[in-house]
Amino acid sequence: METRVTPVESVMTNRTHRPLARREGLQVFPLDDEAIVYDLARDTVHYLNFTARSVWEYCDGVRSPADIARILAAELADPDAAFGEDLRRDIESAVEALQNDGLLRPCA
Amino acid sequence: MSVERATYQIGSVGVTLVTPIAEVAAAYDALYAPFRMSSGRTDEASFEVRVDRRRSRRTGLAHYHITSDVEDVFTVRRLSRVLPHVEGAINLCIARYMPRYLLLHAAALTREGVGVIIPGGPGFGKTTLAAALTSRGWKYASDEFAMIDTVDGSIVPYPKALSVKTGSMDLLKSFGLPVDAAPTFDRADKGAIRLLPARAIHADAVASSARIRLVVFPALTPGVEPDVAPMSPAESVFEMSRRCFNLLRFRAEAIGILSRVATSCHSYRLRSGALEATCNLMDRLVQFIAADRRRHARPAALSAA
Repeated sequence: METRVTPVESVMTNRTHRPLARREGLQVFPLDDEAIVYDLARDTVHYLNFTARSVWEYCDGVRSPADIARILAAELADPDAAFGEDLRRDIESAVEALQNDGLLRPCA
Repeated sequence: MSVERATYQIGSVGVTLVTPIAEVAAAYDALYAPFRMSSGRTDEASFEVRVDRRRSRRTGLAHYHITSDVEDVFTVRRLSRVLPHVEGAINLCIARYMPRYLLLHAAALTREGVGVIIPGGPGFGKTTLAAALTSRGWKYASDEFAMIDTVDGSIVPYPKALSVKTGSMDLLKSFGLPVDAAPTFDRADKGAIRLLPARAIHADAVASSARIRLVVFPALTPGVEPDVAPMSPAESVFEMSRRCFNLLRFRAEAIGILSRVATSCHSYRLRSGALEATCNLMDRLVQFIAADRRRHARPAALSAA
């Protein structure tokens, strides 16, 4: 039986992935706790909501998506473990979206 | 054959129409006579559009050739398609030669000094809503693209005739709009349309420049009570950028301009249903914003005194 691994699953199952935000060639416009990013190389516009912006800022090549989820859960002072699991999945989806949008450096 | 040459100052856009075809000159003048400049002079930006009738060397068939300052722009067979293409040629001139303005696919109006833009793609009901609001005393700046001054973020009026689709005619007639009297033309993208001059709606219908205080993104949802949901400035900037015709001219600078607009105005998603109820809602939004401005203006006025 063939098993297809979607890109989202590949990020979720790759526990060693340490995403690194791309900064060069981008112009960032912070707006409250969200941001608009203009990609000067591709002439594309990206909207980062609070979660996406936070994740992008924590993508330093050292932290994993799970680490980022823990940091954000602490920042949000969320005592609810179930919500924490949802948050982890949201973070992994956000990392995948940022990767697809070219806002992270390509995986090594 | 005599060539007619007439110059118009339509809001911030100067247009000179040159044509030997009397029907074309008369039809354009019927739409824009109040803007005609007897001196032949206009403000800073002025474009010349020429319409000629030619015969194809290959087929021998007659066609209308519409040229402008940009280049040879359009060739059409039917007279009913000429004026919409003249408007299209002017739009191209504005996009290319008025670099001071950001162009959004949006209707633009003002009410009580509040600048309002209604961005949306084709079929979002921009023109219908703009016409209905104008009939209720709002002032009209444009129906297809909003010109935003990149220096101060204000709406710059280009009050070209509203392009009313036949499907909206009955609805607008119920608002007392004189669409039956408006001439019929043919557009490749919209089919039969009526071009309705704003001043045919009421004499004082044309807007002046105004700061944008309200951005409303409509979504037509027939049969529902209209309502609005607030948007964050970033959401608003992103949605405006998607409707920006000349984004690639300004690139990241456009985002800076739109960010300044979004942070100094209110942005909403509008679920628009019945037209009258939607207009009532728009009236209430503007009243709220105008009152809010007055409240915030008062301490400054007192301290100045």
